Amino acid sequence: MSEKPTDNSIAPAAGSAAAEPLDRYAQLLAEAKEIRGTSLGRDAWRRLKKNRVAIFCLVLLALIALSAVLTPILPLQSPYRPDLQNTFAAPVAGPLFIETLPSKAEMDRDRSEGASDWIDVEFGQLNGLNRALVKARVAMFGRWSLNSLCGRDELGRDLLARLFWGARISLAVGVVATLVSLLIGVSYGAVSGYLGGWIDNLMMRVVEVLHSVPFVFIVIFVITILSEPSTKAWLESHGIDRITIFFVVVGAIYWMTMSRIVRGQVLSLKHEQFVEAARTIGASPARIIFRHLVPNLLSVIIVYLTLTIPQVMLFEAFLSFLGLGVQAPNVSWGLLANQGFHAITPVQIFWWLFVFPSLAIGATLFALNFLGDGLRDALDPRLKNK
Amino acid sequence: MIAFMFKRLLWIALTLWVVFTITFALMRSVKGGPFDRERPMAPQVKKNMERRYHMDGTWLEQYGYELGRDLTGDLGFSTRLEDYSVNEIIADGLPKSFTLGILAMMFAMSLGFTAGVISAIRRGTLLDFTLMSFATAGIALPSFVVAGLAIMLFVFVWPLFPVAGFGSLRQVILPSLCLGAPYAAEIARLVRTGMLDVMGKDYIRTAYAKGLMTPAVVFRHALRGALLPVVSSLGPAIAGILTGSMVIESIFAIPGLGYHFVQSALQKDYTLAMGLVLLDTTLLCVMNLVVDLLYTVLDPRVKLE
Repeated sequence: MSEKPTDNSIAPAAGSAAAEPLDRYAQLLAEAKEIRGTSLGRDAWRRLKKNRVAIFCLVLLALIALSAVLTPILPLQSPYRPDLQNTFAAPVAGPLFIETLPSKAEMDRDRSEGASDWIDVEFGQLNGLNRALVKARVAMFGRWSLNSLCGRDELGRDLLARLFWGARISLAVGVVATLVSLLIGVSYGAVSGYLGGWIDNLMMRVVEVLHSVPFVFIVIFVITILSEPSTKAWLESHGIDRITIFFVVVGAIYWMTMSRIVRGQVLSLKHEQFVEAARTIGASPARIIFRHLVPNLLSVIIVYLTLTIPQVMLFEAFLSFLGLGVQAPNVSWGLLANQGFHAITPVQIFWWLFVFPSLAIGATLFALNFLGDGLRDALDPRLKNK
Repeated sequence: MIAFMFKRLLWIALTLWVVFTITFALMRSVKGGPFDRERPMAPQVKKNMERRYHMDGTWLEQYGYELGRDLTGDLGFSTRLEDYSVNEIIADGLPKSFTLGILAMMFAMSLGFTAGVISAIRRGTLLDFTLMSFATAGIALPSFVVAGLAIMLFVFVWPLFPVAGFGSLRQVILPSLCLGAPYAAEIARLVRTGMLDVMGKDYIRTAYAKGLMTPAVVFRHALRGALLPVVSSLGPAIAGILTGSMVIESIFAIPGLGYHFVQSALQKDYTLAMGLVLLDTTLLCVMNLVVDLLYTVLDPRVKLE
């Protein structure tokens, strides 16, 4: 705003006639400093906060994500160790905690022999951080674990623990695969829109052709090919497991809508003055695209992100249902729901095996969808000040 | 118009060729072929089998042969269901999948439109919130979860429908409801958004001003404008119903195309899988074309280019 009254203009002004306008300038300056411009982000956040459903979903998702990250430290039973005495045990209401982990003596004995220690047996192969978390859990809770509040499966494994460990994989699949698709989609769309001309034309034609390709079929092929024992062994010797492949393959499908949206936005932005300015001071096209244009698209990208994650997670569940998704001993919600589905038989319905994983998937995707809608409304400039 | 159709048909041909090439390359890059059995086949038998299916030449020869054969409309013989040609399998499975898909779409449309219109008119009420929650749940739940719940409730707990099979109307109702559920949900949401957009327009106010009743305004004026987003979602919806039917057909043991596709991919039945992929691509492209044509009918401002 007005920056006219600088220090040296105020100091010598002693005459009462001159002081009045100067005071007014100072007052104006102070007022101008008081007023904060609202950024798009803050404005959107203000509107999102009014949407109670969206905020509830945001909190719910934060809780789910937090508990997925902290699973090793929570007092849960082993998700892998079978308990053949208790196969298909129904959910119990109490007692809340039972002692399940091996006794202190057993924990120590295994380690001294140098064989695979008890953590490997109970929780599978874990990396350093997760092992540390498991040890912290033992220090905090000892051998106590939550009782089987959600029942047990056909091998007597605790469903509650499997749900928590499955959340880690399901959420990771959703988030990472979406990020891969985001990376491809944003780069492709931004480059296409910025360069324009025949390159844009060609790039968009390619997307059009790819859009008509039935990708579900292709993915099923790719995954069957890559789970061929010999191919799988080769890939695993290079440190690529099925989940990594899944990230890449799914990410490679879901980028097309994103690239279209980004291209449209870039087309409308690229003649703005800030782009011209960047070009006049000699910024390279790559710099203009990724430093100047893409940050302006963040709102679109965030909305799309929250709406793509559920799609990817659904796709994971779909593939797990066909037996092509996450493989045992890993667990994901899709896999659990699939196992639960096969436990519905005319003889007996082990409803808990099906209902609880479905609830987990449903609640998460429900929250993501509602949050995505809320974000879209909050970031929509047409709905501003409403 | 003619130029437009010509161009689009050319694109469809190009798309089909791309899909053919990708699928061919993917299938041939698998180690082990369609003739792998639990017990290895005698080399001479295997050779004869490969000759019968024209899989004994170089890749280029096979590519040329298969492309030429598929172009004539003959999709070859299935390598698993040995006595059947792919055309026969499609002729057998397509009507089943088609029936299921049409029923699912009819259900999705009727429920989706009703829910969407009610929700838009009663905006902000408890009814609106309930309907939209159901719609979001329909989108958020995997189809096999919906199917599982439906089976649990309506087959075992309250035996209304048979578990599986295909033939009578009672057997088709439950699978088509499960198949249509996510699309009913999506249509409901689209109709609601579209209606809300349209209801604020001047011509709606004009319609009210000249004294029309709410039903007349909604059905004669508003719904038509709200129809466009729904129509453009139909193309992908058809594709989704095709893939969704993979799960639903497996669950309800319906021998349609979805079921055949899953089996052919898992068992490396190259010819059948290729035939089904090509069929699906064609359907998808044709549906997209139909949607574009419909668009010009519904919205006179849209011009074909």
